[in-house]
Amino acid sequence: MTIIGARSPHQTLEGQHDTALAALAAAGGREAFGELIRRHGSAVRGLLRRMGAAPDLADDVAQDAFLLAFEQIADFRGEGAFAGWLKRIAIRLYIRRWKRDRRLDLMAQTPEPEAADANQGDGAAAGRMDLDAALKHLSPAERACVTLCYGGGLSHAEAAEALNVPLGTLKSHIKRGLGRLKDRMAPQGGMPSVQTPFSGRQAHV
Amino acid sequence: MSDSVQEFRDFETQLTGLFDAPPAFADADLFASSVTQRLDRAWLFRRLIIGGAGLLGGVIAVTQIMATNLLGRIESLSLGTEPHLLPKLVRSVEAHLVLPSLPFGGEGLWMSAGLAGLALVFALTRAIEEY
Repeated sequence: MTIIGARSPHQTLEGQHDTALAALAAAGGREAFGELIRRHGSAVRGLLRRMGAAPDLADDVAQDAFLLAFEQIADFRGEGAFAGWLKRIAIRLYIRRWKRDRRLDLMAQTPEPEAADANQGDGAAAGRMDLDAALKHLSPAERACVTLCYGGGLSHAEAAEALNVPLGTLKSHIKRGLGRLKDRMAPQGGMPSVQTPFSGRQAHV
Repeated sequence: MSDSVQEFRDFETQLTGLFDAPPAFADADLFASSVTQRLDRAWLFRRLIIGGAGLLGGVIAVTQIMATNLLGRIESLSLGTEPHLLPKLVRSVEAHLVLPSLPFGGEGLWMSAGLAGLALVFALTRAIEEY
């Protein structure tokens, strides 16, 4: 007999808010956490790649971030967005890798030439492609700083602390990075060069 | 507010929106399932570890009970009914499980063994998770 209107557990989870899913996961609900992985997997992977991580490394760190998030899920109290909390974990893990492998010189100023990444995404949104393409023209430091503040939701002070650079240095990287992004992404003859002080994105997570 | 400042603010807003839109990955499902599998493996292993630690603790508890005074108490309660069997059993258990010549009691020995077992288990867990 078919029960009309009955929902499978997965369908029920799909309709839940992140905070409710996190509470279920904190009580040991791995299916609820699986739904959170499905919802936010691409965002975390994308963030790490935009920070400059190679695809394999980004996926590796993203996996570790989810596992760590599950271990620490009881610490998430729903005061901010789950996505922001998760991204911060991923950022922390990635920066730890940086420091361990000494891959990033934050004083580097020149953009790293990068081949187009065939696995970057499906390319459905032109704006997103513009962003991803434009980010590749930034220096590693600019790319990391801009992505941390605008993609990771960190304030300037938080990003400077995370990267262990002076606040002024971080602001300089962001200013130059935004200028380059703007030049790359703005329509022809559209926005002028960046000449003004900027506020950055304040932490909201 | 000047036009250039407003224009820059608009650009920041636009940029934030672009960053907020996650890229779509063709292998998103594969990624999710691989994370879930790792999660399941870790969960299964932990259950095994917890079960193993519980079993170890149970074995230690049972041997402690047997090696100390439970059988002696049973013997004293059953005096007159089974005069030969229980004293032999008690002596046999004590001979095999209690080490009277050590500077600490049998409880200390078994507790140390239990803690060492737990430490080994946690070290193995950590090593496997790292692997």
